[in-house]
Amino acid sequence: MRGDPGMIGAMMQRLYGSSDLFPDDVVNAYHAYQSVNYVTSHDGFTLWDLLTYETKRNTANGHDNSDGPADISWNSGFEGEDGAPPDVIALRKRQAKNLLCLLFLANGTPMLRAGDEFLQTQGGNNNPYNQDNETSWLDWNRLESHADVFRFARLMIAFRKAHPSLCRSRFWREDVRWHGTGPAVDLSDDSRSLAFSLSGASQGDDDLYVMVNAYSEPLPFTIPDGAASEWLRIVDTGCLSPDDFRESPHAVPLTSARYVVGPRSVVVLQRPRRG
Amino acid sequence: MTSWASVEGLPLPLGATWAADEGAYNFAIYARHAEQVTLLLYGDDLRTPVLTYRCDPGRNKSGHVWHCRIPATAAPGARYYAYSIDGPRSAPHQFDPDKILFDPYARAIFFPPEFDREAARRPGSNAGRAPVGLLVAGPLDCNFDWGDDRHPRHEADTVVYELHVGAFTAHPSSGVKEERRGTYAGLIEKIPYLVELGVTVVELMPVFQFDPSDGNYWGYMPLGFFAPHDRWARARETCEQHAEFRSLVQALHAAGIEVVLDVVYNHTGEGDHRGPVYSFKGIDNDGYYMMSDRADAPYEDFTGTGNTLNSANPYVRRMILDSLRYWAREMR
Repeated sequence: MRGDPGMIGAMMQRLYGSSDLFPDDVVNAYHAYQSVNYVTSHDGFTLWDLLTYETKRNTANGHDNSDGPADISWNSGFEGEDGAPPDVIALRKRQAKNLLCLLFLANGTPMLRAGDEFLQTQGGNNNPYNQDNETSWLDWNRLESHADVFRFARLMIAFRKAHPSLCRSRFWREDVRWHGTGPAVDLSDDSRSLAFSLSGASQGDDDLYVMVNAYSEPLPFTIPDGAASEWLRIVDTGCLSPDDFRESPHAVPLTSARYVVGPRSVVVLQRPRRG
Repeated sequence: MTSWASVEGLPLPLGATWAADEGAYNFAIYARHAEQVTLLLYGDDLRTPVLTYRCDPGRNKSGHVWHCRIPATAAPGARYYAYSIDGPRSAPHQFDPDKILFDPYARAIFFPPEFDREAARRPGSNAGRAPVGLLVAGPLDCNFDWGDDRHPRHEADTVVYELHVGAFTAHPSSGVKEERRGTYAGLIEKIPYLVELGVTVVELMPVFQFDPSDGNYWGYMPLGFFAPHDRWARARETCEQHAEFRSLVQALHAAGIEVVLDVVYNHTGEGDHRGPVYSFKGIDNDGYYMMSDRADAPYEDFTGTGNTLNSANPYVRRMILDSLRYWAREMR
């Protein structure tokens, strides 16, 4: 979601459940659930700090800032939290939702780091193993101040649990079709977009269509599958809460097969199973 | 006729266990290269044992395991236990009978108010300042009532939530009652929140007992592979501490949440040659740890933690497997 070049193939592999690491050939027969997916863990930045800092701030740990991993982070255009412009804060929140969304769409076992659902911060300390203080302690006040992100995380988890097609014993195999803004997936170095359809019939589930725009500008996607009105828009991280996640009674059918996905945004569509 | 076991003790199970029919403790500890193993039982005064039992290898040793049987009546007021062990002083051994050693199989470890990490790093006695094991005159399960507890088993709805017992509720904003903040009991109060969020598996960062003074709050420097970390319990007695942990597991299960432990078996909190001697080093230094051939860095250190457990040793492997089984069966 940082928009790095040449990452589309890697993103497909992780969404699929990492069959490169856990091959499901006859010899190995790994399951998708043996792959644990996570964006953050106790080692490294919290989700919010991943989007707020490019430089770790570990001096309090007592090792001259030499400890802790080199996180693959992006500060969204401004280093740190104090004085961050509103558009940077908005982008960080959208990126947090993007990462949570992809985490809970991917096949495999998802792991969430406690507090990321309300944007816990450690002030840029990415290795507070010896900080028994407010650096490490979850600040539950943020549950209220970031209620929109908590709602999004809660609804994404519920969505995943309602759609067993996402999390399977085995890999998605022939049920997934990879696309780009058009029918064909664009694996080129400068591609910043990916879409996929996941057929749910084999799992007794709905069909899903996911569009990912990691580019800094809006991109028009075309849904190549079926009539536009069959698809309900569930998630669009380009929208503010509560429109970012519309629970099914409030989900709106598409009026066109063309859908403009906003800059650095993820869209999830659902086509209810027939019968 | 008196049974062999009641005279000599038994080499299994390892650790301190209660022989209810005899009203006696059975002690068993692996110490391959030791020449003298002395069991120390304490009441409240951790400088003066209420009973000192020098194991006689002619009858209190089987293979590499030293063992003895002590009737409770022989040690009135005993609450704690530890060992003093002597053997070859030269490398790779590190025997020092001045050091008070806790049992690697201790199910609860007590850090006395006078506890001093430095005293375990210096020559000389650290009596009264060393961590010691707690005794339990009763069964492993402490008669805990698990009720109709069952392990939830999630499949497509698996969502793992990684948390640190201390950090999760230590902050006043957690809304948890002050005396429960940062404890197993505090986490119980947050179960409705976990259910609302929808996570179905809680992965606890290490809950094995670690040195409260080593600065490693996360818990990745374990000392007691059978002991829940005591600072996250409010009680100080073994069964009460275990009940707090078991109640947490039971309550999570009742809410449909699986419990997964982040376990650390590749090293211990004894660190390298500059670190304290609490247990393993003084029991079987090169049995428990992988040793290098470098005099200035005698411990292999593959993870930047100071030492590396030697799981090629069948007794170390046994300890790891016993620990895993213990948490899975006794602590669920």
